Amino acid sequence: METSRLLKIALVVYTAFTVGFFIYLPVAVIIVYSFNDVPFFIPEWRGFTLEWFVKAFTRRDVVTSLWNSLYIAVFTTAVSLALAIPPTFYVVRGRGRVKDLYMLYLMLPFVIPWIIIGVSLYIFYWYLGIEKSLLTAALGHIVYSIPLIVTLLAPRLYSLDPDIERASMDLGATPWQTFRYVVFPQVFPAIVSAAIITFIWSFDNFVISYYTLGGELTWPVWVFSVIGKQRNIFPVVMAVSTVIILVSTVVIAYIVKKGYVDIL
Amino acid sequence: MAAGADGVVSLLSRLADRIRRDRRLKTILFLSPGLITLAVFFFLPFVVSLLLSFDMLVRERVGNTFVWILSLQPNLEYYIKFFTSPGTSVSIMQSLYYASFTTIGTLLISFPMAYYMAFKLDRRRKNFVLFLIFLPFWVNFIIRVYAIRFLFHPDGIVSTTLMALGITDGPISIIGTDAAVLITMVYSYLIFMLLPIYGVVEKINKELIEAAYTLGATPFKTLVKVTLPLAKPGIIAGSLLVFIPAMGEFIIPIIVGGGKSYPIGRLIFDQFIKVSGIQGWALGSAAAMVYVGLIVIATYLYFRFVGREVTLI
Repeated sequence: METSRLLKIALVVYTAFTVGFFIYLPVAVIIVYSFNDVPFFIPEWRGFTLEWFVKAFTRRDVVTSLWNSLYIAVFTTAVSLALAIPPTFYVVRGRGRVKDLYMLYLMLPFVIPWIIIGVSLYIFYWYLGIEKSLLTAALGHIVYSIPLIVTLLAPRLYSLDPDIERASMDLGATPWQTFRYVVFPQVFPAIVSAAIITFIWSFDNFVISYYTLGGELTWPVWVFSVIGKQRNIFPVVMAVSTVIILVSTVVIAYIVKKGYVDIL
Repeated sequence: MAAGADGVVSLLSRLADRIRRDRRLKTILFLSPGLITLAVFFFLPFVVSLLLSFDMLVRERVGNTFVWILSLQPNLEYYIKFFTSPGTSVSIMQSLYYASFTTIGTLLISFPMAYYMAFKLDRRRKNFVLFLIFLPFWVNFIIRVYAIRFLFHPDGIVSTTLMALGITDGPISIIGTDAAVLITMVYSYLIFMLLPIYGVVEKINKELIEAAYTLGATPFKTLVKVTLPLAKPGIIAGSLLVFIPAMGEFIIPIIVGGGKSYPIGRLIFDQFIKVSGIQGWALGSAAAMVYVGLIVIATYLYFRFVGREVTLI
């Protein structure tokens, strides 16, 4: 048993190190240095300030880009859930060749890189003469979100017992009632977790947005457009990131605590 | 008019009746919104770029307007231009190198973590660790990459720590090298490897592993003969999810890689910025199609030599 205990300690240290340093150090640095009284992102501490937070949230371009990201993420999440939930049921419950082909079709955007999705939509919109806007970018996000949601929901659907649904139908429930009162409560936590992941993904996406947005920018695209050119924009960007991570921690912790969500 | 409206109503009600009775029609209606969305905003644009890369969409002036005409003679001009331009082969090799390294690196880090989380933690702690892993992803990717650049600054935390520990004599400066790109890529793609592996390892029946121990297998042998084969579908899924986008990564090379780091993603990115208009886009599309082609080949080889039992869902 000695080796297994040693192995366990090694694994604990390894996981703690990876999560703690590898994943968290960059984020910790962003949070700490957003309070630093230096207008650049350099390793030099000159004192505590809240200046960047005031500056960030009084800048109209920053606030607008954050709202735009929020709009796109909410729209993408809602529409993709509506589009992806019925096919997920079909993929899980269906049988035969048609089902396999349909699944392949559905999953293809998942293996095509974002830059290709973005670039081809860019050309496509131009050929059709479609004015690019927040909506055209959201449509690009939806394309990728559909297979993402199917991937996240299907494992939970596989674990449902079809006999319970059959029992509900035998007892006289309509298919809709069966879905609403029998299936939905069982898959609700998985739907919430899929919604959260889709939301994060869409809020954070740069590559597809970059090619499909019009004049109005989202937060990641705005960051990319200014960060290379203006060195003194860093503290503002870090201040916004600090607020985002604090707000999202509180929101997610609340959702998890209330038991609405079942991560994986 | 009234008669016409009645006609429409009766037609609609007959249609609704038909749908209610016909199971197959119901299924089709049920599935078509997702199907149509992907057809219009994913497959059609892809076909348009494919046609453009072969110079098969021609713009012609008819009177005062422009029309687009499909030409049935594929022209390889853009592909020839792409393959003969200096730097293309270096870009392709660099992309393959980055993507392979990232896949192996994330695999080596994720597997022990997934194993630990799945086997040694109770349900509450599992969810907590997953929550911790997800949290940093709220901070935008570009900003996180800059944070890593900051960590590796010659006066930054990594450099000063290594100096304090006596591992290096002077400040280290890896920004602008492949090492910086590779570390940042492994960091960024870790979650795409970790989640599918965890998803599969979590479902492995623990009794199988205990049985291997009971039958006298060493921990190493158990890992190689029992755990790894059972985790294989997750490993394959994770490898695809990392390798495919990693090959086209362009933001990390731009931020931490310097001018010499020029993989195919950056080439496509620049093509659409620097050269506007059909010529540039066509060349960019050709590069994009070569990228897709490489992915198809790599995936085929991977399926052939590693295995094809993917568990994406």
